[in-house]
Amino acid sequence: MGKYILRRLLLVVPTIIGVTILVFLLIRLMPGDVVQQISGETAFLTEEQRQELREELGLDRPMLQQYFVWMSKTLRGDLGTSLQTKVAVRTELKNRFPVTAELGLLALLLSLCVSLPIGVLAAIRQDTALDYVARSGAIAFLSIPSFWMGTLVIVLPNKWWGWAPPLMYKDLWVDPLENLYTLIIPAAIMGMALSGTVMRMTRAQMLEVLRQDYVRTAWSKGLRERTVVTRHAIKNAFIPVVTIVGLQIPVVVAGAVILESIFGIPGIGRYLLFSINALDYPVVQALNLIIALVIVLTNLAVDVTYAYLDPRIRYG
Amino acid sequence: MADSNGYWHRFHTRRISRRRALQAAALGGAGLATAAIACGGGEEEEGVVGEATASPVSDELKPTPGGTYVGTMADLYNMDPHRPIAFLTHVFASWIYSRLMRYASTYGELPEERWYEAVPELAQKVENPDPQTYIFTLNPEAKWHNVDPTFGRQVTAEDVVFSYNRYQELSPQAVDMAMVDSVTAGPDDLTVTFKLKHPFALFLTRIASYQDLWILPPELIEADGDAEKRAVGSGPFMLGHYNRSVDFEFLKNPDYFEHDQYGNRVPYIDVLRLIVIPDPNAVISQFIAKKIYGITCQPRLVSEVLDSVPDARINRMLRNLTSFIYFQDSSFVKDEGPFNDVRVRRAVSMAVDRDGLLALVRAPIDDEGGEWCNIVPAGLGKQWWLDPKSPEMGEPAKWYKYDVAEAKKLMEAAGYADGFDTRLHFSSTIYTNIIPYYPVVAEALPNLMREIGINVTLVPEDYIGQYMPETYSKGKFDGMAWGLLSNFTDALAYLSNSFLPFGEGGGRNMSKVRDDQLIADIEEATPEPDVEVLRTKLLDIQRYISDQMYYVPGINAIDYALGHPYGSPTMNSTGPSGGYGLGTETSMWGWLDPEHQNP
Repeated sequence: MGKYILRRLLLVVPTIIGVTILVFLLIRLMPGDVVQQISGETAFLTEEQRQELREELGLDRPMLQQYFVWMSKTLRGDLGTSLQTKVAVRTELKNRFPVTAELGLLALLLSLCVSLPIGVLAAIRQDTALDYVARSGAIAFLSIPSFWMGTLVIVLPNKWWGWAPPLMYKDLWVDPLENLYTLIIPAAIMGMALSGTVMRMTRAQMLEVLRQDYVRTAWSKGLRERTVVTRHAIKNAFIPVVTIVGLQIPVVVAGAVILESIFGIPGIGRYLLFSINALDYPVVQALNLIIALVIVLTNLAVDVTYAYLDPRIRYG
Repeated sequence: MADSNGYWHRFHTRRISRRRALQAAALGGAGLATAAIACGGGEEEEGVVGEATASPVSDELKPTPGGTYVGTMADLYNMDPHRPIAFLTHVFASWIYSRLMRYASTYGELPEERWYEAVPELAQKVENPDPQTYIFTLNPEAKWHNVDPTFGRQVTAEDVVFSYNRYQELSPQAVDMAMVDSVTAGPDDLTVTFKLKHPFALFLTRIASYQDLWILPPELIEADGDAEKRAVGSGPFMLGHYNRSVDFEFLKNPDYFEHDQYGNRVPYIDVLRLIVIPDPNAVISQFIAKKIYGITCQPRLVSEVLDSVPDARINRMLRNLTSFIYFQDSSFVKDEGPFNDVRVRRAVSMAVDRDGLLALVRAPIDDEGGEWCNIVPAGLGKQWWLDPKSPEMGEPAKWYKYDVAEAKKLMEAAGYADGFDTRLHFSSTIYTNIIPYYPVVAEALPNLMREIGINVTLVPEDYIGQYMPETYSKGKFDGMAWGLLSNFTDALAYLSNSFLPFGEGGGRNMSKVRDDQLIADIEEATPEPDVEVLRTKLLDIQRYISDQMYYVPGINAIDYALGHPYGSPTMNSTGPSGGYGLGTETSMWGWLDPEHQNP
């Protein structure tokens, strides 16, 4: 296992390099002039002014040189400075990453609290009304866009009861209750999107496990349903579900971009959107790098956990 | 003088309610105080064009100091007012920094003749001994904020010189001050003299513009290198904090140099808290839930909001914003058809149903949606804007009238009886959020053009990626484009930027129109020292460009701001446009009722 983990960690390096190259190139392929954007959308610059700004920002150098300068700084921990706000990316990340992490964890937690029990119930009550409702609900959760749901949650209660979500985000250590109150609704919406996949996966795995010989043996021994399900079936059914949960991280990140903007949450999703609109190269590059790193490492953690949970899985 | 048949007069008298009638009566006293503002209230000295302002409050409108006002604001791209041309940065600047002059403001409606009237701000007095010299005497009570690095010291003439030099070096809009030859401090610490290369009758209006000369402290720039990390000025508010994507908190500057006649220092409110709410639905919901006190609102949503908040105050704003169709630059650079032919351009104009478009975009609560545009927008007021519907427009007025039959005749005369195909480029992002009527009109134009045989294909473009850097800034497009022009506060700026050669003062001449007579007229008008003569010349130019239709003006629709009735009446500055100088033109004169001071 140790060798496997080491090998996977080594593979992270070329993966991340590939991501950095892709991100570096893609943002520069985006149409628009970052110099114009920095100067203000209605500023009319002469060519000399544009060139001066480019030199000031290091954008006049060859792309390869820009890439290596950026990578060498990143490896030293310097994630760059926003071209627009002049604030270091690290400073913003320090403030924003915990917010998005909290939102994502809360969403995952809510999604698991809903999807796992319902998936199990749907499997053990297969082809009943409960099963049909659960499956339809999962499809609905998968289909409904989170931005639409977020807008409905803001507009309809406001129209009916004059209610509005909390006005301002408060940090967890400043006001925990207000913090949870602010995050619970966007987390629930994000969790809703995640729970569809997890519920269906749980149901499918439970059905497969329930048909195994050892479960039939457990039934034939006269064990109660609760014992068969909780002591024999669930543990094995949940192993692939762990993998699926790990693969939801990119969905969490994508959801964060939208929901943070709708609910005014100061996380990295909103920061990323703001920076893309502003053609803020250093910020977009750094954030994408961080996100890629999180996803790669999460996948590794999931794989290792999978091997730990299932003794049949051994990595050479 | 306001035209008694003018739009705003008709609008005001028709829509008056009991509440507004009472307000109007109360404003009688405020109006008198306001009239005294620009004149200084005392005997005028010869050559003195303005003295320090008095407050607009009165016995009927007595303020209750204190409290926290909660509003909303978008995130800033940057804080340094000398760098970008971003209106949000200038709104921000107006709370923290000062200008030498600002624009007149009052509670309720500002009389049209006072729209964009420059009044002293940092300057206590302005002398104009000759047409090329302006001597500003700074207010001796004007001090920088009492924080590091300025520690409350007095604002001096050297600070103004420093700011002017920095602005010239950094600002992409420095061309606005191209008429300035030199800025010198002396003979004392409070006197600063601007010498102009030539007379410029609108100099005070120009120097009051919120996209130009903000006064910054040298020690801030010396310590930080720029004004991005900290914002320290001499304005009515101090920056408490700016948590990006969360909120702004502005604290009353306790040492601000303006008072009202009751001895209260302004601003009246203690704290201005602006929450960053990116989603427009969330903004409205917070307003309905009474968590924020004022919002701007799309016309189509005004009725819905009023259903939930029937006692909301409505502020109707006619911005200094021109909308217009512009043509591919080959029309003028290479004399290529079809738009090089004035008959085709006139036909395009006559195919634009401006009243129909205004009806389309108006708020359901109002009968009228705004005004017809000229290249000079209606938001500058009738003293500078030549109303296409007015008799003063003369012969060219016919090119603005919606007349499909006549337009077709023009097309036929130009050799396009069968019409032609073309494209209409427009921004499908950014504008759609902040100028609600922009996308509506863009999508209506193809139907209108089809009536005269012009088959238009819409070409939506991303604002940042394509529309602004290429189509608008460089004129790189084919066919037609639908555009907006704003932020200038005087008519000469609109005309110079639109018709002088691109790169030679014609920063908004994206179609690269080159009309030597027009250029000569603008250049001749620019140094005109007499305001009345200048006005006549600029109105003549507007008649000429209306006849030529180099750009086809569209509409100037009304924008709406709604506010809970929690204190002072709504204020208007810079005419009804709700200008970007909010800090020193409106916010500092606002107050909250005692029962609404704690959110």
